[in-house]
Amino acid sequence: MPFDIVQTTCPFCGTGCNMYLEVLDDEIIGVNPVRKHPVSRGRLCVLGRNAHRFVRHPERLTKPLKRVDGNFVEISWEQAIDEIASRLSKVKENHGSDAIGVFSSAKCTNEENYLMMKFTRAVLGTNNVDHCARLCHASTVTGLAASFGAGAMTNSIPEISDTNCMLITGSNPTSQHPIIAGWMLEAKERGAKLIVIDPRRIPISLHADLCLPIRPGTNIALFNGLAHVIIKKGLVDEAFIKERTEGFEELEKKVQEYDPERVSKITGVDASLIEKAALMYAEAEKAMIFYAMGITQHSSGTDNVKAIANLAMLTGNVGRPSTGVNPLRGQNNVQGACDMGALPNVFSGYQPVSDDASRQKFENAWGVKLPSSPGLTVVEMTDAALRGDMKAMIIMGENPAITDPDISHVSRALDALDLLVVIDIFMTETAKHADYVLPAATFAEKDGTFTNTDRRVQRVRSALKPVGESRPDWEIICALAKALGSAGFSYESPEEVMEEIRKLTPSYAGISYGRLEAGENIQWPCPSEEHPGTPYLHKDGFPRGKGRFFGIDHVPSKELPDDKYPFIMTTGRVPFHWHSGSVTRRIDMLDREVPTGFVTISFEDAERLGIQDGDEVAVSSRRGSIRVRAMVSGDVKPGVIFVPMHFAECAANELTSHEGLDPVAKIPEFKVCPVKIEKQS
Amino acid sequence: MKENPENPAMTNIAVNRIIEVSRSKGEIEEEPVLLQKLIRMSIQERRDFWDAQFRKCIKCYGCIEMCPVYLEPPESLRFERWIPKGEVPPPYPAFHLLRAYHVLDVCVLCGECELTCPVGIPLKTLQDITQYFPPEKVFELVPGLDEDIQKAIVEHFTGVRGQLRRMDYAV
Repeated sequence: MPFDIVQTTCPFCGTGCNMYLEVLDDEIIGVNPVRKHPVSRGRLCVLGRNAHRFVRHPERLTKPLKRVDGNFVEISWEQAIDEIASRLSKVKENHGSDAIGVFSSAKCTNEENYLMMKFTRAVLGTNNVDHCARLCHASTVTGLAASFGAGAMTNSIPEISDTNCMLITGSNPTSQHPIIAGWMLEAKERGAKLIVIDPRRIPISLHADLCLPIRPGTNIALFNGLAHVIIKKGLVDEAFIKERTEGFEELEKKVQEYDPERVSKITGVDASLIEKAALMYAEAEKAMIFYAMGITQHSSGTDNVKAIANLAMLTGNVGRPSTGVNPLRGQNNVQGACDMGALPNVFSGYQPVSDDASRQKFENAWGVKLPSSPGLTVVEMTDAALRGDMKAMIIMGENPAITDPDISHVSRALDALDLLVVIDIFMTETAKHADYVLPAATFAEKDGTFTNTDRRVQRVRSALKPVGESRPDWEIICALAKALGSAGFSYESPEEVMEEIRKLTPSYAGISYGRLEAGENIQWPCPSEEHPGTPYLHKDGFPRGKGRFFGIDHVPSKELPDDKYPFIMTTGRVPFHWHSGSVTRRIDMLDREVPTGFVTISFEDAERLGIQDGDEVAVSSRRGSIRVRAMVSGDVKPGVIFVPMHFAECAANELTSHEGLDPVAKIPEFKVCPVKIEKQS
Repeated sequence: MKENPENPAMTNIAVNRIIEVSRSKGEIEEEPVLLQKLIRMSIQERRDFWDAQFRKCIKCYGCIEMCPVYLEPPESLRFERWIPKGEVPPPYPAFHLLRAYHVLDVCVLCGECELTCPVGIPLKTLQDITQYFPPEKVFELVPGLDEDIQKAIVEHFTGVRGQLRRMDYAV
């Protein structure tokens, strides 16, 4: 009975907690938290504590599958790789490289994302590589790149306990980042102020000094209103603005139009609350802003993020400990997948594909000619498939048939493809559309690194051999590349891949497996082996030189409620499930807590429509309709309803729209979707 | 893994240890620990205190997962019977008192429940209270428990062995 304890990084959210997996024979029998970890400190949330329960689930895919006459049949790896390679070559020959698209995965390791982006660019010859960051923090990357020059969380999680004020907006940390919520509650008990801006009453609202119940989709108006009050009351940090920023006049002029009374009319938040919140934030010596999907998943996502950056720069809350603009990133490795360049416009380290010098560097390293024009984003690839321009797709560890907007549109697009290859651990809703399904290994069956939300690069360690014939994603990518005749994919281990990443990616240059194995906790940028890593960004200057203020106008959401669809539906998660539920719904303990979806409706709306708690209702939008159980609650305002995204049988994304994307970030508007509600008899 | 030099989780247990050490060195004046403070509070103050603590709960079940002695609870005290599924935070104070009584017979006061709590609820103090006071006193120190649940707790333990263990310890 060999027993082993393996330290690894949690595969759920972007907090990056560490855990020990307890391995007995060929089974993980338990999870233990790691006391000395700087972020998780011996704590874990309900997902982390159950992270081992899906690894040896009986429904794991164990053999490559091929669709034959509508049914899946088991085939050998050799046959699968050969056939996929020859069909990809054919698509490339007949329709060109850009007829192939790739979804990389924020659940996979840095090494795998790097290889997937290298495979797409160097072997397939296209820049059509993207992943689910497009649907979560794409607007953070574009917005903060415009304001600061770098799109990542500026400060660190352990700095939270020393802050004086926390402004949380469009983020539900007790559910989505519970361990970070623990740090926030600790700061609160030490006397920090807490402001929550959210259309819903979320659990952390119970601890807030101020709650601003905002109408979904009116963020810019509210942040302009806060800036208006801060400027009017003379609470700006003049020295910071003068030395570190540009464009202040532009902002000053714009926010003059946003006095609290006007903002109150747009946002539905009392003018007095706006004034109080502005004073509370601006008067704090050190103030942190936290935000997530409630800010980014809008057609105005990029501008929402810029408006937040405005507030931080206005008050000098950037470049110091316990301050900053802190996007809380969703997936365990969404930061890393972006860093590795699994994006259509950049190589690893955000080096643009259109920049000749950057491209030259990668061409020299890889020994091939690379395409220079940016590729298509996630939603654009689906549209291209439906138009017939996209012929083949490879989807690694993503489930767009649940998580992308307007999923009946997505399903049609997946079916329109000549070739769909899905690499995953379970038969997901997306995999059901595939021509080939390749069985991948879970986090506990492979080595690599994840990068968490505060830019911490951490080891993922293999505790078990992959189940059945499943293989780590990096081995699958290398096998495909070799079958397509590429010589540049002979890696012995993920560590070798990291060595290549370090050579080509300045911000990761100093992060070696050796240092990580020695117990170091390194946050990028880390330009050399001697560099200790960077807990907070922009200390002495911004990557773009000066921080840039933007004067931005409130623009209403693309689709607004009307007589036919009078409610605003906003989507989100519950604490016990994760994204499309393909993992968490297979864990009994989590499934028992919340077995299916629901719609939260206010008392007022429920009474008006004659709906009782527990009634079945139909929620419909211009895209589709779902039947779901009503949960009548004071947690939402009249006119707003909430539907969780996890449940295939009543998927919120049947209703959301794939049109009306943010013009820069191409992120869809998940958070504002006009719907109607009808009681079912 | 290197030592974590800053920001160790300041649990109730850590604070008590620091106080103990400082006191032995004569560095600090006597200061009441949390349990002593609670005893001096009014019922309403205690309720407010525990309400503020318990509503931080995110229902991660860590206090149960990490408990070295936790066994399947008796039928009448199971969560399935009293606690709605999927609700966060769970209803005050039933979830936490039930959990504490689940381990009444076996708790070794190790404090793992508090050390692993992601939101820093002083669960070790709750263990101290349930271990050293009889139920009627516990329901005053952590006020507001539903009477049906109070009854179920008292009935179970008196039914099992005539009287509650450790009642003699009560102050």
